[in-house]
Amino acid sequence: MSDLPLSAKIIPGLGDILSTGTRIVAGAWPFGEADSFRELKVHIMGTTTTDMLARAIAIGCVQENIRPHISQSLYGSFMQDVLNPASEFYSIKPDIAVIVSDWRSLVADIPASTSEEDVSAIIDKKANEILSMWRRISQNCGAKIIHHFPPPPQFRLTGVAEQYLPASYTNQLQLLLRRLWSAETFGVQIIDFGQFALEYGNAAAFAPRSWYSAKLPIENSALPAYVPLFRSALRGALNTAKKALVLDLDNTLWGGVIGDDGVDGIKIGSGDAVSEAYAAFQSYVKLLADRGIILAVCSKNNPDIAKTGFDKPGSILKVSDFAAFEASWGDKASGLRKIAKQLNIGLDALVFVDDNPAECTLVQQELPQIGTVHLDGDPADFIAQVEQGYWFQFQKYSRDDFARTQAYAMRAAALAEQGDASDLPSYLRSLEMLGQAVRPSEGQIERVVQLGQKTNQFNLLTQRFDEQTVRGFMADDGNVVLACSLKDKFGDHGLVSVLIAQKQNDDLDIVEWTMSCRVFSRTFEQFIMNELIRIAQERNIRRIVGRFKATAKNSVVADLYERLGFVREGDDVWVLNLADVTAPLETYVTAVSE
Amino acid sequence: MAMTPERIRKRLVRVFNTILPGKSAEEIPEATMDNTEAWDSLATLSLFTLAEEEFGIKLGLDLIGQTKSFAALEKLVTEKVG
Repeated sequence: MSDLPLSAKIIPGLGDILSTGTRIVAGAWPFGEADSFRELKVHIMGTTTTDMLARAIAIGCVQENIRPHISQSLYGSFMQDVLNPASEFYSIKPDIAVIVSDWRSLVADIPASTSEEDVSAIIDKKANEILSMWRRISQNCGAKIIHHFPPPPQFRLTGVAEQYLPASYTNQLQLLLRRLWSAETFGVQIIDFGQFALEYGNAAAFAPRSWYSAKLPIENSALPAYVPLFRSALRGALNTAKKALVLDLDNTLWGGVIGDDGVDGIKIGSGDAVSEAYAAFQSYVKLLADRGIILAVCSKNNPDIAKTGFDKPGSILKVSDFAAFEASWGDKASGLRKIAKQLNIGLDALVFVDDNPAECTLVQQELPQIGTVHLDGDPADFIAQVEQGYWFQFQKYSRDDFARTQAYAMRAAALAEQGDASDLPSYLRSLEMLGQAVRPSEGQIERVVQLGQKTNQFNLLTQRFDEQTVRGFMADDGNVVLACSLKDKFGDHGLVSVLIAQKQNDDLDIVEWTMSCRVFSRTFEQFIMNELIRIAQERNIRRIVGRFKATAKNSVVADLYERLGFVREGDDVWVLNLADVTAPLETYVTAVSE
Repeated sequence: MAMTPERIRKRLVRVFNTILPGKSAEEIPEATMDNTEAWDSLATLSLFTLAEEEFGIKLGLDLIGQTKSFAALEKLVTEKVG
């Protein structure tokens, strides 16, 4: 493990954190001036000391390809820093604000006899304090917040009665987290050390001695295992979450080698411990798929033979669960590139799981941006080996998450069809697309906001408007907000594009336009622009103005306005004079009425 | 089964060099907080943590404040390992 580059380690070494992490916190940079690192200001503060945690956070940033500039509030002055607009915190204007709370700062010292209603009122007050702090940080400096919540205290007093006693510390903490979780959270990422304590061991990770001697929020020896948990929150904050799980087949999803042992020889299902362990791993993968994680196969196999493994009774997964199926004799790095392309997501959104150390090493070296998990030893441990990377850590589910896997499978089916169609227009026509671009209904607003927050590729200005801002645009009737949905013969893609245009005198200024990557290049862009032009003409608008702001990921739309007939007027400004519009843009999407 | 003093010395020098690089293996046994740049209480805490991992022991964190030299740290480790 120690020979691996830092970026490829799931759990970094304690030495990495205590030596390299220390240097980064002190302002040094031991990795050369490569421009592949994204620079971010990270401020760490809380009711605990943060010096040691900061070292682990520094390593987590490096592993996510970020060069952090780390600052910390002085121990004990965290609330003053947040409340004082003239504090160093606001002059630094961090990109990421990391907060750490210990349990003593969150629970109220109340008599054991306090009623449920009274406890509830106390917790409501505490939750409101935290929410208003988040709001203050988010509005005053725009920082993304990662807030650590503590494990419960390490005493159970009288056991199960204590756990359900309203006034108990444990109950107060649970109630508080639940309240915060269900509130509008400004995109705050919550790290729950209570859950971490269950996984790592409460006594080992949160020993009282470290609190008494140094006010440490977590034992130093537990910092390596904490780093992947921090990275998951960081990815959440930066909208770089992992989206797909790519799996090997032989000795990964079943025991044995299907090409040698045949479908009857592989171990999956019931009857013996090994078959049961593989079935349990498949069930785990299936649960991830149900939660919106896209599944793919990357295996050195004959595809026809490989697929028969899923027909075996006892196999939980079926071929149709995979949105991409790459079985060939080529190297796995090429296979993974193909899968990313086929799913239309970045390589850095993939997690790759394989039992073969050579394949894993190859991928770690060639494609370090992919999370690589080497499954090792007893298949009964496979689930734990995947879980320790905290790859898929959502803060909240949306309905869209539950439908995503199906949508990507649809895309894969459509792509397969594209291979058959003789030319693009006939393919697009064959999709029988039906589109709609209308003002969002109340129930769609959550999804409208989410699209802007999550979309990286087709996102013209990457503004990341929050719900309040979107509602602000909708409140003015001069503005145009379009929620655009698309169906085709393979199924309903749902709300996949949002366009917001603001009225400025006689102009409509497009302040944001995003589209889910699974539907672009299908002339849906043209369909939406036709709708905007129609609305603009009805309102006697003179010009539609569009802007493009380049990011690392949105080059796919750099020429969008040009393709839609806009004329360049300055560096990133494009203009469409409605007087020049003679015919609608060509599209293969037919309008449906509501 | 006890570890030889030479073995403890060698491994503890490596630990020290990870946390406070810059001194040679010959200089490290003579290191003190006074003659070592960047050796503050957090560095002592880091030394304790890494030594705990290296030797599979627990050192009393209450001793951080009074452990001001390599020799003092080596004595603590030797007591626990031996």
